[in-house]
Amino acid sequence: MSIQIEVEHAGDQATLAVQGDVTIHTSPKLRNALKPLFASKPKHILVNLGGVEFMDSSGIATLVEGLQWSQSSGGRFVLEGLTETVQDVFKLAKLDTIFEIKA
Amino acid sequence: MPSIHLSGRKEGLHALQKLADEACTGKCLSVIQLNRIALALDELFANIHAHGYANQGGDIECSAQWLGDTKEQCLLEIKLRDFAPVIQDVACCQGVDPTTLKKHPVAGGLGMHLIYATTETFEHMPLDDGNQWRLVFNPKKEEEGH
Repeated sequence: MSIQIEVEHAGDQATLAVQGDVTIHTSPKLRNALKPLFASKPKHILVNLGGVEFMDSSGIATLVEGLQWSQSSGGRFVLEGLTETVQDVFKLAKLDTIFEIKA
Repeated sequence: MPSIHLSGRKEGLHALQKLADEACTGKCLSVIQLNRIALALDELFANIHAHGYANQGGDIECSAQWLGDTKEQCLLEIKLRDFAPVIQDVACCQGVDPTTLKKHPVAGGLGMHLIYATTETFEHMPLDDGNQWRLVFNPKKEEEGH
């Protein structure tokens, strides 16, 4: 399954909306969409995962990279709209308290 | 025992997921429970493909069976057998501490951590010509992070 990623910029915020399964096959696409966002050092990056029903460790590792990039650039990195299943994976990975997660 | 040939990872994984789906049909499992089973199989499959077969594909045999179906105990056992180089050092199969990922995001082992977190039992057995992996799920156990 492929993923669709839409990026919107508004002021100093960039929003990335992801749709589809984030797996070892599709996480490189997420990484490629995420990385350039940090070049302009936005203050706030919002990743909307409302359209993601399945995410494996490669997807989580990609988001951890994003978190690390945001810390380097001094901005906020926020995940929002996590589906029940993706939320569960974050809990299993014990990363639900490391990320800033919006309902 | 049904056999799946891993010539392409996507196709092989789909067949494996289908086997698990068929085994779970009629068991009234929640979306979370089904997702945990799918996640563990995805992670193990990815590891066998990448590390066992160096992304070149290879044979995997798999089987699924229920070990009990009472209200108190309902365990799903899935066995995978590969023909990849034998793993002797089981320490390399241990999962990473996820909290270290914040500083070292590319560290491997998160997938193994998720397999341990989603299964009741996860065992590796070295064979003469490959490896056997046994995963036991207890989907009726209260859903909670391990």
